[in-house]
Amino acid sequence: MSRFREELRIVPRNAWIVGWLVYLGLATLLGLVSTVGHDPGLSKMPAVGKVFFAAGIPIFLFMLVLLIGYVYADAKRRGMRYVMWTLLATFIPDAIGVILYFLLRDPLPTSCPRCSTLVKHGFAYCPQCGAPVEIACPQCRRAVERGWQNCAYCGTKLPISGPSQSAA
Amino acid sequence: MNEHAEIRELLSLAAAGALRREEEERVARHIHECAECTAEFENWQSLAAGLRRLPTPQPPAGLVERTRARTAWQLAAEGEQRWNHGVLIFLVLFGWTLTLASWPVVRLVSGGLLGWLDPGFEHTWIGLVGYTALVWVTGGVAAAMLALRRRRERRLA
Amino acid sequence: MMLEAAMSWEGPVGLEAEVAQLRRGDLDALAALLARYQNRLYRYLLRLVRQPATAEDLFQQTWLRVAERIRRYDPRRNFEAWLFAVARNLAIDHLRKIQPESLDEPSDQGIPRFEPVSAAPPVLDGIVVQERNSRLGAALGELPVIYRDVLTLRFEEEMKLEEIAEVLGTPLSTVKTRLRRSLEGLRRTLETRYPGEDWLGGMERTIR
Repeated sequence: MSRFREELRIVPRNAWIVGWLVYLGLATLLGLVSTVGHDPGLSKMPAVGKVFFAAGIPIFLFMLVLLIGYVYADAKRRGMRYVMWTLLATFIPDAIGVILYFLLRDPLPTSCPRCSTLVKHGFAYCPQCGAPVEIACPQCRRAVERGWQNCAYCGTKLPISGPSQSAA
Repeated sequence: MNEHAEIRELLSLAAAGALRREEEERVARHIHECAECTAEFENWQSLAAGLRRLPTPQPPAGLVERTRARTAWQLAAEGEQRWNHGVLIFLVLFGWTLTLASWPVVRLVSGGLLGWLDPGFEHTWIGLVGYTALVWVTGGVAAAMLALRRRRERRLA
Repeated sequence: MMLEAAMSWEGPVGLEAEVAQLRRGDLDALAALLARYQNRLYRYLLRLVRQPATAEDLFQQTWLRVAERIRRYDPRRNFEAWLFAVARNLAIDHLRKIQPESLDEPSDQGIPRFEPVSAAPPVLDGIVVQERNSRLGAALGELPVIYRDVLTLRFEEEMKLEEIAEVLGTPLSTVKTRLRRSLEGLRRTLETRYPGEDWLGGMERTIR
């Protein structure tokens, strides 16, 4: 649950504002339609049903707005093309754009221990200052993952468990 | 003599302290009288003592720290995966909810020609199904384009 | 870290507390347990696989598995027996992978002889003792895994037979039989390599 709160904090304030506006707007619209509208099926519903309908359905749209806001902020912090992803999340209906984002998003970047620039995942050395940021293959110097027995790029056998990080 | 043979079988275990009380006492009684078995027993005891005193190999330096770090990292990675799966399941359900919730809204906003439960609803259903299909196709096309793009980017990296 | 290692002689009470902490998800407890068992667990794995690098890797994997499965561990069970059982299973799986022939057979093809490293400086140890240790160590290394296994648990870990049965997952009678056979096997190996009266290599004939 605290993980959820952490992620929720990433949603930018504007998204919250837009979300509430959308909620109120749609709720009002649906309320009007169900009370003074002409749809025969809807008018037959009991009052409780109408309240549920008018107040309940816009909740989902509210959540969708928050999700779009999350996509915007998260894509930005991961160094992805955040404008493109936000548009995709907005305009592909039924949250499919959001699903695509979560499936395809890049891992979080790390920050270089020496110069603090954001370094994309998968890099072994900081492009700004050259400090090692990830365990590297002793042969080809590319970033390798913990748990690998052999380097996935050049095939050299990796030393067991002792990471060959040059300085750190 | 049968007793003697049986006791001989038990001598090694006796030296290892692996016998029950009764068996131990039986062995003790026998070797008290039998010199041959006493000698054998001493042999076994020396072997056992030697094993007990084998020096302990030292683990390499930093083993504990490396293990701790690797375990912490692995557990974090597994937790991350579980979280991601949870998020995706939620999003799929959410997507379906939106699809279902959007049907009445689309109907209403578009003016709704027929009643909600009116039997003559073939056209409405076709409209809704068509709308849903359009959404899926859009999603599929976008997914395919993005996947292709990623593949191209990966190859260049 | 040093403080925890020093405090690890607390015995069962400290151990129970640490296991309970670990069950609640506290990773510091894992560090404490690591320190507590590092020598014993490493020694056990080294006896089984005979290669230090492999022993270290299995050591790490064992603790990983312990952390993953701690929720499923029944706190009424003996923790040490469970820990060693986990380590044993990993070691056996590893050995099966690299040595497809039966684990009951003695084999030392291509496996470096394990030389026991004495904790005391060689001068104090004495030539006789060193000789004895290296003979025993070498003979031990030639035995089949399942014999080395039970000998180590009994004489180096000094586990009770019931505990060994739990680690091996076999009934008590099997443990006894295996213990007897392994002692006999060890003696045969020593007598074959050092024929004549002196197969014990001058081991003191002490009555315990």
